[in-house]
Amino acid sequence: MNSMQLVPVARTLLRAHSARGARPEELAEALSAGKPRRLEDGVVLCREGEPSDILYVLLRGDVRVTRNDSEGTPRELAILSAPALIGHMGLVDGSARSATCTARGDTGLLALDAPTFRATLGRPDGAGAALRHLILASLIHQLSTANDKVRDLIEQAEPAPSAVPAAKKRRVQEDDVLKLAGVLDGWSVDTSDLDDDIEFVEDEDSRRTREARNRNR
Amino acid sequence: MSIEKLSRLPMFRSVPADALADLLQRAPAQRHPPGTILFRQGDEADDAVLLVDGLLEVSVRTAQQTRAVGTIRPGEVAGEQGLFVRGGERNASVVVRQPSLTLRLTPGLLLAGRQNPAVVAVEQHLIATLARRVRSTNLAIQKAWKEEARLRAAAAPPPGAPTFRDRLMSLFGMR
Repeated sequence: MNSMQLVPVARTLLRAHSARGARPEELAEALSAGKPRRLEDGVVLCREGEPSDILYVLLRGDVRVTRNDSEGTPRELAILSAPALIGHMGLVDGSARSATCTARGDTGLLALDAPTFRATLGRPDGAGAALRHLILASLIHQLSTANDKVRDLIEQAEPAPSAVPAAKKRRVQEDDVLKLAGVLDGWSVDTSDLDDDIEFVEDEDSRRTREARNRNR
Repeated sequence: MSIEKLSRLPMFRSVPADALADLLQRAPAQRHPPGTILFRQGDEADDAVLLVDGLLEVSVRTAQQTRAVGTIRPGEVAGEQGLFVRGGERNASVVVRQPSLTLRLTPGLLLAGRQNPAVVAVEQHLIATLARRVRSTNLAIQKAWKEEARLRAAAAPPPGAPTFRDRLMSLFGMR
């Protein structure tokens, strides 16, 4: 994909993560190694527990992030709006997908496979530095947001199960823990209040595929 | 400081000597006696240090007390938030515990040195370190929650057993 088309996406991603020292043009160059993908509403992008082999950059639309609770019931962790990073943790540390991601509406993404991601991450140039700085800013954000959430949880929680609940105190629930895990896994960056005007430009291959699919319906 | 000393750090083992020499030139080594405060909690975060030799202690101040929450050993970076996140504050203090040798890392150094394999190695090392920290924190929280669920399911939880809240406080250095 043309890196110039990705500059607004790169700029918003860097702003959303408060990343310093990275230039949008260079991050756009790093992301341009990805292949465009389009998903229709309800299509599953990745499933919890599967190997992590692709980093996705959400360019357009929303993705619903869910994780199964201890009884196997899917619980919603977040709704990600474009632009967002999806699946970077697994590529960084080799862990399996921590959640299931499903397209909400018509969704456009860029897919960077693991070899491309790792090669770009090791590049001694501006594009490599921009991707490293974005990932580092995201990891720092994940840790510091989790820290804040833990402090909130401790503040709200009952001191002991047997104690009479004080005003505004409550029992910690599994949902709290799932959401905390979601924060640590990087599902908490919100770009919805950033007002950058991002226009997703469909590439020629995707357009032909979509038109062919519509004709065959 | 010699390049040999720097090249003994695991992150620099495959980095060419000329790249390490360039890093040393951009980030001159600094020696610190015990007791030196390198970072103070609440201060603006705009740089970090790579510990080459010595020992640093990380502490967190709460309304009630100041508590040591960890140590930094040679080959580790302290204060990395200041390098990659705009407008952040130090979330902990860092004090020198044993005579220490550090390299000061700044956003300007990372920008100017991004073609230097030594700088790339520092950043890749940090990505791996932070990812491990994220994963181990997550595992510890899940483990604490499983213990809590086991206690809740028990007909009569043992009196005085730590709650999930207690475990979180302990995990995050709040008690």
